[in-house]
Amino acid sequence: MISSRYAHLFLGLMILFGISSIITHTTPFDKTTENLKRFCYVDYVMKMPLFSQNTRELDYYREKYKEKLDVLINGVLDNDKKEEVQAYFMENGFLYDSWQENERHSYLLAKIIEKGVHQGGAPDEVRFDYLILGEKKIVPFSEYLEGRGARVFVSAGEKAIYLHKDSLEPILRWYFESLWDTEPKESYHFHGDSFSYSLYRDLQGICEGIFVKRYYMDRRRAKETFVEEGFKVFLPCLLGMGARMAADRNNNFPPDYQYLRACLTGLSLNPNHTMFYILKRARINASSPIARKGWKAFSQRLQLTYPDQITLEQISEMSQDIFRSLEESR
Amino acid sequence: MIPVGTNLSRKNFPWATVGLLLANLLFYFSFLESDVHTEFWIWRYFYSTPGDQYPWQLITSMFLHANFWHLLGNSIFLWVFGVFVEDKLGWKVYLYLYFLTGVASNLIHGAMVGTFMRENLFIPSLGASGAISGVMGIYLYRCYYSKIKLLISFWLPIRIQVPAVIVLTLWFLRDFIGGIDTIRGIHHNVAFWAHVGGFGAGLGTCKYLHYEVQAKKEKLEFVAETTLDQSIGYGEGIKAAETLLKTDPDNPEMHLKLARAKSRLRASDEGKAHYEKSIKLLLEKDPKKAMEAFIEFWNKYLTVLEPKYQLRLSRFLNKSLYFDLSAHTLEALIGGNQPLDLYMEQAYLDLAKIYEVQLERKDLALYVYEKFLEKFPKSKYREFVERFIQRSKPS
Repeated sequence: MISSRYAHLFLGLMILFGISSIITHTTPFDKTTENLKRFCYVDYVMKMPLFSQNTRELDYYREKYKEKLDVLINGVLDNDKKEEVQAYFMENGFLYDSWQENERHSYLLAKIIEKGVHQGGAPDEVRFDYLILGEKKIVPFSEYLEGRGARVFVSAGEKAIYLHKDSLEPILRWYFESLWDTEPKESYHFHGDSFSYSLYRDLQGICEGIFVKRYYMDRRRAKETFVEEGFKVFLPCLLGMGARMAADRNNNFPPDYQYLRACLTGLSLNPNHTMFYILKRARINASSPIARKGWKAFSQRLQLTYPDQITLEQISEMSQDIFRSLEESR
Repeated sequence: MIPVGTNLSRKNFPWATVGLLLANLLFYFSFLESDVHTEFWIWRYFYSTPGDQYPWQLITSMFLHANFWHLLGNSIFLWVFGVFVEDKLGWKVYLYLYFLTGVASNLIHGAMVGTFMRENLFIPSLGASGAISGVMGIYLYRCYYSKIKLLISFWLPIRIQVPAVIVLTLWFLRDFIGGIDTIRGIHHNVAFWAHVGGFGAGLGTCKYLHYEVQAKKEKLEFVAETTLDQSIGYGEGIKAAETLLKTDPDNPEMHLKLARAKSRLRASDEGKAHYEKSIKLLLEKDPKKAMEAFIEFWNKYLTVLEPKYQLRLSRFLNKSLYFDLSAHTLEALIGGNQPLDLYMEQAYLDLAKIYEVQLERKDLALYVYEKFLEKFPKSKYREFVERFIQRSKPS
């Protein structure tokens, strides 16, 4: 009797094995993504100053991941066959890109949330394809170096401008979490600190609908709506940044200066309190003198005004002024 | 706090637990200085990676540890709890359940990661802690009545004893809360769901195998064993022993303990009855122990058992060189009002023989033989006895 129960337990274990296998099932695409991620990150680590022994070890790991990737995607992982790799990931709704960044390979693998074309009259008559990217699997080398605090809102790919939703989403989620349980009733309830207040000023209508009027009872649904609607508020500013990136594509500016120009353009065309606050507080490592000068001016000039009182018009004007002065000094 | 022992005692040497500890040590030190190729090979093929798993990794990962402290922590827990679980279950069942709960813990960890933390599916896990949690679950179910000895810390060597139910429940809750934290995205370098899964698998397995019956019995035995020998407060032990004997009336050890407890202050009918029962049962299982128990019984009650049992006991006493005692018990048997059956016939002959050979008292032997002829005139030994008497009488 008891011995048959031991056999039953073994059968139970087999059933658990089956259930677990179903739950943990990963597709060849998941495995490819994982191996690609390790392959790229080993490459990033190799860029760091390491002892020769460590470099040899990392070389070995990189080679192993490459072997595995070759098996998984039929040997297309080769920088010469970048388009094939891109097509492979594109089929699965992901963007893969790799480029040289200060004589280093940099990679990006992220989910394509939305594709679109933007056309605007400013900064110039510019029309560009953009991709809204999220759920980043592999971050570019610069972001990898900066760590979790790194926030890049826009970047330029070969064929499209990338808008990084990942850089805003955690902020929106954090803001939602901090407000949902406190059940604010009045506007001053949203005034926790300057950053929170900036978010409130940008997302006033959404905040009141979700936190005060409680349009959604379900927390998860409310959160998703908040993140989606919130992102839409930031989108014009991001597109403004993207427009400048597209316009500057062939200008051969240093990348950090190009990014500064994009930020200033975004803020001047479609000013936004939160974006202003984030950029004002961000410690952006600019290597080119003009970019350093620009960020310094940005930080100093905008510090003259208390962030809680600054208006969108002031942000726009100041951004334009800095942009213009940088153009003139060039 | 670090568990360093329990208040239980074990009956057997824990070979299987020692084997597992040695295997863990062996694997750890074998791969300690391995080169990058071996390291990669172990990582890829022997750690458990839920998202890209080979079935054998569910077992191999149980023998691998990340560093010395990981190994030491697991070894302490395996030693403290494993030795008693092995003692209760026997090494075969113990090893079976160790691997069963270990594999289950890896599978549950994988299932939780696959359900709530898919981004971690490719993070490998390793270590024996899932299987050890299973052992702890079994320990809780089987030895819930015990106490765990806890060391406050390595730097403060003070030991306290806390009921196992409290220690293990808190330990489980800590892991469960840790598991919830990981679902909420708080990073920990511990596979909490493997611990929770192993522990749950251990408890569930015990429930399915109806270990509660055995556990209740062991608790009564434990209470009886630890309290019956005490000079005060042994009433609880008497109750436990009596309860135990209701379900297991042929437990000689328990009868003996109860006999001692009930004869401690003065001779009692109950004490005598338990001695007699215990001695009779022990005669079948462990005659030497039966003889020792009988000596205790004789010293307290100066009486003998029924001829069938007493004859065997007296013979053991004789064999063990207790000639006087053997003779006294046979004298007591003969002096009693026992029916004159074959056992009594043998008792007379044995007594005469002891007088004649071991004690060299032929006069007494002669007296016993004469009595024998009187009591058993038709015995088949009559001729032998008569010859002895003739030989012994002065001419």
